[in-house]
Amino acid sequence: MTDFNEILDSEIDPGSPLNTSLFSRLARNPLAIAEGDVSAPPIRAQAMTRVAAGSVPVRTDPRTSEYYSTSWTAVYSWVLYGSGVVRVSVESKGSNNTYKPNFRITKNGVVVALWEGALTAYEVREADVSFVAGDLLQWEQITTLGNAAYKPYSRNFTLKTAGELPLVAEAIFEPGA
Amino acid sequence: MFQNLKIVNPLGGIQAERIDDGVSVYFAPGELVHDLALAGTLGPVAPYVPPPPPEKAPTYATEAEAVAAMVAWIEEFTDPLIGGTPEEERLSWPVKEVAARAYLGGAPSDDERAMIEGEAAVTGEDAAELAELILAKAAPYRAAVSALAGLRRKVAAALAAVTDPHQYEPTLLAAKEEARALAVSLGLGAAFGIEEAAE
Repeated sequence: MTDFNEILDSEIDPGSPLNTSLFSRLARNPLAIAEGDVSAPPIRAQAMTRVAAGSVPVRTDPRTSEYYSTSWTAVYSWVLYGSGVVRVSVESKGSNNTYKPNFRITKNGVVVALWEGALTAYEVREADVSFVAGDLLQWEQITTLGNAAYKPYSRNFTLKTAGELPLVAEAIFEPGA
Repeated sequence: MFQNLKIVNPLGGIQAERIDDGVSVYFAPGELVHDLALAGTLGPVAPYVPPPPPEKAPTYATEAEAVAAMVAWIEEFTDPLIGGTPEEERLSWPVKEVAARAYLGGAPSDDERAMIEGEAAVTGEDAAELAELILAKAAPYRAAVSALAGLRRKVAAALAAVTDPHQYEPTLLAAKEEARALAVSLGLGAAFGIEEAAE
């Protein structure tokens, strides 16, 4: 394990000597950070990765949720490390063309995307959502009538980026049925 | 660039759909693009619509549930007419009616004679009186079941035509009233245990 050694501001002021000790710490401190030396500043979750939304599916859960309730219910949740923008993409549909369900995406409980009146054929619904480390993204659904004959369906819970892999701290699935 | 802009939460956040790929994006309050959207620069923005309260679930959610309820009610409704007779015996009623008619006509077959006289021997009744009793009960029974069969088919068709499940229960309630009125019009109110309304 490489030790982390502090570099003072006075050592890098204009006119300060460039000596072996300074260069040695400059060279070794990054190793100490990467190795997790206890004296080194920790890599924060914010810095784990930075992603941009795109069309590349980098994480997909193919399961189907049939949870039905007349209250909004999160059937899939992601807690993410890093930061950036990720595209949340889910296939969803209803069971009845008179009483249609609604779907939405929330970030930390705030609605960031809403789709109302889903028909009885699966349709991909996508939204680009910005996030920072620790943000909770949730896919929620609600049925107009609280009966199994009118249940909503959601499947293929997918995160898409331009190719980078987001770090998911936790993913929670609620199947219902 | 964007379409279908709408405010999606009480904070005023705006959801917009990109025209080129259909993907939705979110403009948070405080962002410059949110201000531009709110100013109408990106197109009309639909106002926030709070979610409506959930509707009360219908008594019968599907046609199958409503039809099952209708059949169960018909069985309960006709119970006074059947008078606690086991199903196996009820299945013999059509044959017994033919046998009784033949017995009173004076030319029953051996089986028809055995059917009437066999029952009379157990009860101690006169066989001819039993045959008359059978025919006296058969006529109103046939009138009742044929009318109820017609009503059942009419109501089944009405239930099949329902598009709003909240209408299943009113349809069945109306059918029950019609069944009671039919029974009274056939002179079977008492048989069905229905008190006729005083005039």
